[in-house]
Amino acid sequence: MPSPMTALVLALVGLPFAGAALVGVVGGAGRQRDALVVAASSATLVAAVALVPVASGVYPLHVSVPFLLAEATLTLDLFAHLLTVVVAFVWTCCAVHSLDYLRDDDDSSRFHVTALATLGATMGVVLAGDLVTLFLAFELMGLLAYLFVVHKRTGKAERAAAKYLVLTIASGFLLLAGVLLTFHIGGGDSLAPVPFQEDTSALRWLAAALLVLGFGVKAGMLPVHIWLPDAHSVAPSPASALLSGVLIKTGAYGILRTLYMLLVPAEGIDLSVDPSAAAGLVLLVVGLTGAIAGVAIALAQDDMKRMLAYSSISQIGFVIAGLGAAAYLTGDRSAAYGLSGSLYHIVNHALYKAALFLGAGAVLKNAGTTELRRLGGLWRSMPKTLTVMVVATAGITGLPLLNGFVSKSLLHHAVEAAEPVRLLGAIGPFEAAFVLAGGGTVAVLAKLLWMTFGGPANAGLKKVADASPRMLAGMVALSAAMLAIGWAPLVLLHSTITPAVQGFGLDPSVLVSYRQFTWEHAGFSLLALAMGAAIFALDARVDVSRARVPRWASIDYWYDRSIEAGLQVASLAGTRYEAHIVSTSRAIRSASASASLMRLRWRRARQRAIATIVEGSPDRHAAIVFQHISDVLEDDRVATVEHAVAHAEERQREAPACPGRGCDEYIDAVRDIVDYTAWRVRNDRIATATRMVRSDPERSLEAVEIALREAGDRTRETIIAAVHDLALRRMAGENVIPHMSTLVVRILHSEDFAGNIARTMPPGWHTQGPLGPSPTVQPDTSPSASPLPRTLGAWITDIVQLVVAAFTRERTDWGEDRPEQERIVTLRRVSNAVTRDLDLALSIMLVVLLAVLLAAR
Amino acid sequence: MSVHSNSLLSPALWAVLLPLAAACLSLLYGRLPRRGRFLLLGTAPVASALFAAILVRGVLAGSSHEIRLVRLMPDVYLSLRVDAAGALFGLSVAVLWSFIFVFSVGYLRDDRYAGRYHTFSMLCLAGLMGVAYAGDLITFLAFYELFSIMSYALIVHEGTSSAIAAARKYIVYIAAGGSLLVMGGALAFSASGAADFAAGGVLGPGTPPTTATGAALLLIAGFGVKAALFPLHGWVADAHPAAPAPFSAALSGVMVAAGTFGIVRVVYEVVGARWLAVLAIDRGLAAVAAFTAISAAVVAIKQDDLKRRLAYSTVSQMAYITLGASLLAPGPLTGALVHITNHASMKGCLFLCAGLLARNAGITRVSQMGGIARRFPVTMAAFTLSALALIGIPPLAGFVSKWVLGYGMLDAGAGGYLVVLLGGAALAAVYLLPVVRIAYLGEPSEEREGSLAPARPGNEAAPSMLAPIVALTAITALLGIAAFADGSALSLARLAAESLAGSR
Amino acid sequence: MPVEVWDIRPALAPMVSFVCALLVFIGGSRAGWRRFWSMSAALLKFIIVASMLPGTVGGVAYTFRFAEFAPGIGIGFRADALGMAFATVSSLLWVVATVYSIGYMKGERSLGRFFGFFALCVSATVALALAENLLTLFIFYEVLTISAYPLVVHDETPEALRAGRTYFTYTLTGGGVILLGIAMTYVVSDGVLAFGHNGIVPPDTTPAVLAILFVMLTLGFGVKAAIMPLHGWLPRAMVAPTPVSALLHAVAVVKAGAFGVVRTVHDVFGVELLRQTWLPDALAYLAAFTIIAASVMALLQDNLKRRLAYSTVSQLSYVLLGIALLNPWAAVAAVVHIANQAVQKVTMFFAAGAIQRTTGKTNISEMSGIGRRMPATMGAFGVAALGFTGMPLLAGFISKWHMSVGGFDSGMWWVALVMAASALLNAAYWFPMLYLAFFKPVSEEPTLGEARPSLLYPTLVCAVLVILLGLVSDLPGMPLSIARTAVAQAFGM
Repeated sequence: MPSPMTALVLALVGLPFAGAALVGVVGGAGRQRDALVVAASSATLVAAVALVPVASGVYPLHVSVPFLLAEATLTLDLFAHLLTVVVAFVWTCCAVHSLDYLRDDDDSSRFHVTALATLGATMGVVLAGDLVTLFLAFELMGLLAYLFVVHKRTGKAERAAAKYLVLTIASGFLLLAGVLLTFHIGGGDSLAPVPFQEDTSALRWLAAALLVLGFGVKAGMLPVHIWLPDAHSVAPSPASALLSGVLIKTGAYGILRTLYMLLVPAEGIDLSVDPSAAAGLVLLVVGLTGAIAGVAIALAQDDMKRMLAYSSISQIGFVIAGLGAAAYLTGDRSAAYGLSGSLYHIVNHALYKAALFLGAGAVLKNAGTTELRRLGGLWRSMPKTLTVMVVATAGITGLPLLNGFVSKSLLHHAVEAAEPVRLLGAIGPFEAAFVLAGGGTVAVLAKLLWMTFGGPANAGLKKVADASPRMLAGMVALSAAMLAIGWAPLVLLHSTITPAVQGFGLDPSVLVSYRQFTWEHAGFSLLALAMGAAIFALDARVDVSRARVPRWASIDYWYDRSIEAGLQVASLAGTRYEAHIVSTSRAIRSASASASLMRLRWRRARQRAIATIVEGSPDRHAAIVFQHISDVLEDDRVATVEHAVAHAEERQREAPACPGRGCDEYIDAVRDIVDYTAWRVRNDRIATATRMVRSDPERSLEAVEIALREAGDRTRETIIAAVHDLALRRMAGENVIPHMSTLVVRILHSEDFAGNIARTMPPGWHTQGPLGPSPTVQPDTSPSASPLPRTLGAWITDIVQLVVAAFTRERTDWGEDRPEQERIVTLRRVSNAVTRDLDLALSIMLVVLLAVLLAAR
Repeated sequence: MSVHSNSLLSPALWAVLLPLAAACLSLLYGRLPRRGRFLLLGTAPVASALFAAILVRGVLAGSSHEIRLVRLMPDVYLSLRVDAAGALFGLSVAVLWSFIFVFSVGYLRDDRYAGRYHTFSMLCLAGLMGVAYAGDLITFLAFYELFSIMSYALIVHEGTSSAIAAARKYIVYIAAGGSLLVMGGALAFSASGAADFAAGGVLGPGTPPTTATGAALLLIAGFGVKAALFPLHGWVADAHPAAPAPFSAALSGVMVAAGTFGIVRVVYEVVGARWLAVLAIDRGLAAVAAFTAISAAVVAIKQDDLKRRLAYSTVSQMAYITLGASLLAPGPLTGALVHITNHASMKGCLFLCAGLLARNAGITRVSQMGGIARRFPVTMAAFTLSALALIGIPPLAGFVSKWVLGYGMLDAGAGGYLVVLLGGAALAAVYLLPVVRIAYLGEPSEEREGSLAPARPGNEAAPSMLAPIVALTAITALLGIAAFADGSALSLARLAAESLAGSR
Repeated sequence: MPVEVWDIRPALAPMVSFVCALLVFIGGSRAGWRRFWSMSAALLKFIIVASMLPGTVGGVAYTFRFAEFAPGIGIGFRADALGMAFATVSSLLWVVATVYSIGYMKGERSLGRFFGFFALCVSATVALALAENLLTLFIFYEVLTISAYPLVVHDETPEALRAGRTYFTYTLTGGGVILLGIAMTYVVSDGVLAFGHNGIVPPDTTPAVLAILFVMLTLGFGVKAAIMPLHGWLPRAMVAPTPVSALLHAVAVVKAGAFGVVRTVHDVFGVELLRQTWLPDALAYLAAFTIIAASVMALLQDNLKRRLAYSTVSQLSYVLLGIALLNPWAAVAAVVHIANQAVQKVTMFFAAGAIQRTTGKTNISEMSGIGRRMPATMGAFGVAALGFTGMPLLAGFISKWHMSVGGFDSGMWWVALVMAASALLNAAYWFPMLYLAFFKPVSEEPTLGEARPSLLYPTLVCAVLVILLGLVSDLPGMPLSIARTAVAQAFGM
């Protein structure tokens, strides 16, 4: 029986999933469902809060359940607990907001189910006590969020979602590799630091790099952030709020865990490079670059949500920079500034970015657009929304008395402490970047508020209503939380964040002595404000959003190009592979075809040979000739069918949308029809040819054969043209089966066999007509006097050919230029001779053997 | 190792014999009562599955058994032996087959040659069960050839010109592979004088290296034809689309896997890991498998025919198994063995879904699938889950395989192959997810909308076709989520790998 | 060496069918008597032969000698393992073939002649199988040659007569060569012709004489064993009625030739003596060539019986190849293949005959869908075809496996290649036919029209035998065990 604490921890993960299942079952869009949605998220919040009074004494609390490979461990510690409360709180606000936001959406139930399930997964990420559980929950969360991005199902949404999915799955595999490597070097069973062993340091670096990159994708870290602006802007606003407010923070959380799991230098092991410092420096640079780049690009955006999205990239840059600074400063007391700043900023950003996105959602819902150029002057019609957004802006820009002030000042201390060089007296490059990014944030938010709410109202936006109470409720709750934290920032710092920092093994002394309101802090806040004002003014004059940068400067461009190139490679590889397969198919098919052809020829040769050799009577000649005609035509028929079918298959392959089994049926039908047609044509021709040959038994065979073959070619062309026609009709989507019978009739009628013959036969035929009586013209190509071979050489050649033919059966004609009669006679003679000679040979053998035997005696 | 005193009581024997009996029974298919015939025939795979489950329990309890049925030749018996690997494979086969059988009842409802289909299908099942429980190389070959050759009848079943061509190609490949196997088997037998599978291989240390090389290469190439190793995979992509869907599922799910299972047996119990390592064949095999895994996955991306795409996916997935088997360590081998089971469940379900779409909507191409999920919600949900599982998304079955394989690779000091493993998985996402995307988000074509009955609950497909799909999806989920449990496929695979590769 | 036991049964076995032949000749015009005599003689003979099996397996050779016209030259019978292997198969298949031919020949004319010579053929076959010496072997070999002629020309069509003429030309010439060989052996061995001492020819014979002797005997027997290029008569003799083809091709005549070669190698020369010469190698190459070339020829045939004939030519050379390798494994393959090939080929011929009698079709290309019409017949055919392709658990696999192992054992790896190629070629010419029969789409479904029971059941019995020979071939008294006994004796193991 689990203790109540354990049950509560499990409930944090379980409740949202149960809620999702219930909502899925209830469905529809009624009040019941709405109540369920709110109940499920707020129950999670209650569970999270309920852990507070009893929890303080029992941290860390471990709960494991058997799952997947072994078991899933959930660990509730102070920091995780804070995050669960924040996550559940933001989620509940967004859920309340989304009820009205999605009122007219057909798929709203799907959204709510997704949202609740994602909450469960996010809770899993936050509570995960071992690396596998962290990874599993992270993957699940990422994949579920796909449904957020794709929700609207517009082309834009699909493209953004595809990009999101590609990067999520790619990051999933990077993470998996990293997790595997971590396990390999002996860690992963908990999130505690993995003891260093010198032989694994390279693998450790690799694992850390993979994990940071994998988590960085979700966090929107600079070079792999490209999914973020697209996804945030197409997702429904509550979803954007969750994505930006919570989900990308889990990425930062993952990076944090990685740093303190893999890169904490061990006591007593001397490493040439301090891993923590090196990684910290890299992260610091990456974070600050992101912070500046985020605001710079945000300024150029034309759309509220895209602007906020880039601002998120910038803010996550702050967080990463803080983590980097903390790692860089390991061993130094100031490190606590970096870590606490980051943790604090994670909480803060969740609140104000969620509020801002919800505000943007309210604008979108009521004004119908988020495009800045089409907005303006909404302060009159949406004062409440404006108020909330102003509070959130004050928070994000770090004004005193609001929550952002503290986290920014903590981060500022960290960056300052991590400064490697000092220029111009006190300010170094990192600090300068930090301040610049802070100023940029002010400018971006000012621009956003001004263009949305300030100035004259845009035409067509006159009758805009303010946000509905339920939508407002979520936003107000978030603002209230911001104000509360801002009012007493040290409560949160000292109650939760300082112990958490301690938990990561850092010296928290600087935090204990930290004072919130100092002139230094206020000065920097004012400096940021001033810089922001300057940038805002400059931007108003220059209008950065009209700036054009070359395409190649965008990471998106390279992403698209590489996806394209990859698909092209796949296509090419596919063709190559298929070519390999097609060629084996063809080889097998041709082997089988040639076997049947060989069989046919062999049978024919045998029949002919038997007829000539054994019987040998002159009357046989005519029979042989007819057989020959028949064979030639049979060849033709087979070839015609093969050609037509091959043609049909080829056409079919080109046809883009051919309904599956229909293809084969079509080809079978073509085979049947062509077979029938060709059979009919063949029979007609045999009749004609027989009459022709009867009229001139001696001379005509070869001429007839040539004529038959040429006529066959023409038939084939006719049939193929018809098949081509059919294929075209079929590709156009017609039902071609009825056409096929017309095809038969057409071929049978258009078959101008007499004409074809007449074109190839000698003039005598022409005048007589193919069906006329026997011509009297004697051919002048008849063989000379003796039909028998005159030389021994010819005789031997014949034997050799006969023997070769007996084994290969490839050749059935013994000499192309030798007339038929001579051939027959030779054949007869040769075969008789062979039969006789076999006996002779055996007799000779016996005699020789006897002689040898006698000699041996 | 206990030798069963009364071989007639062995569940292994009955798991093989019952399908044979069912094959004989289905010769009378047309004369069986219309309602009862499926119950009669279906008893065989279900009973085989039960027997297989009993055997699995026995193996988990630590008992293994061996029976010698008849002496074929001196020193050569027709013998059945149940070890962990065989028990796992046998159970996978029988369970998948039970579902496939149920599906085929619906799929072949209007087929006038259904009796022929069931006859050969049961023969194949008998062959596969025999392969699972074969105690020596000859028995293995015997059952292997049985189902290989009988598969021809199932591939050619539809009788279309492409089916005929595919089946012809199949039989050429299989006959050639079979010849290689007999040659290799004879060589190994001539060198060792024994055909029994033995841990560590039967080739003694005194075997001439050329003989060992010859035997290893011949046997691996022979099984490689079935296991679709590049460049012996030519038949796969043609045979799958041509065969009836339930059989494509079986083909992909367990038959191709039987080839890889053969490779496992050859590597660990015939030639022996030691010999392979000495001859460096393991490295070559791993390289070939790695290439196959990636190249086939790349090729799958651009296939429009759904079953063809899935077939290439099978080639790629089977190469993982071969790769895992070729690393000669218990870790990757565990992954390979468990992936056989997981893949059977995932790919079986995918093919059944493809078959359902082909039969009930005439859809065989990915490009025709626009919006089909609205008409076939359950099918596409199952398809999606199985696809995600195949990609390796936790906590479904495929993730377990990838995890164990990857973990094992690192353990075996072959971490470089992680790139292949994860790259292949990423490619799997590239070729499977678009299918899902099109099905859910694509625009339906007007022509098809007109020809299909409107979507209503219960209008999707016959229960006999839908139930196996749902059940397989559930199994896929269970194989993942409950992989920790005692008696799971994973635990069995661990046991098997330990006994196969542990005693190196 | 086997224990020699004096027993009448080796002489009795051929005598039974000889007496039966006489009775049929005398009273053969009445169908009832004819059937009665044929059936009872077939059964009796099988019982006699089978009764000697336990002894044979136990290492006993039953001997019976009754005439001696010159020193060392006489008629004698001796049932050693090798002879028993052949005798068992032929007497068993005679039972089956008798049932079949009664059904098949129903309504034909001159049946007295047919059944008489049929019995005579079998009598001669068993006699030569159990022959104690080379001369006895030769005498009955010639009796077989002559008594098979009336069966070949049974139809008395011009074609049949021509085929008979060819048959006679080939086999009698071969017989003449054998006779010369025997005479020469007699001279060389100083009057010893009896088998059973691992070689008659003394080891000190000059190589030239040895070579001539070997060539004469193997080629003489090779004519009937249809080794290429002496195979010409066999396909032509296909005009004979199907039971005759089955008997000629599968059991009696061609096997007599192959058996003669086995005797020559094992008992005339002896394994030890031949091992020192190149002669067996030459025979092995010739046999390998025949295996492949005849298979290719079979591929070219459309007429089913002709395809079967070429397949026989190919399969017979397995025996020659196995014996020529001079390796115990391969020798076992050779001897056991006498039985395996017989049963498989008889199954196929029976099926072909059943198809011919039931549907009138003789060409493969006409047989589309025949398997749907006659599933049992074609099923039996399919089993035999799978056996020929070497599918394990069927008879053919046993031979192929032993042959391959023998090849590897004796360092001749190409033998395994030949086996593989032959298996593939077998698949290439049998599988398309099975495809035609069972799977080719035909427009209308033929109604079930199985052959009549007297044709169907013998076919099925043979198919079952194919499976049994693959599955339990090693049981005592089954071919593999007999073959192993025979080989153990020949190799002195």
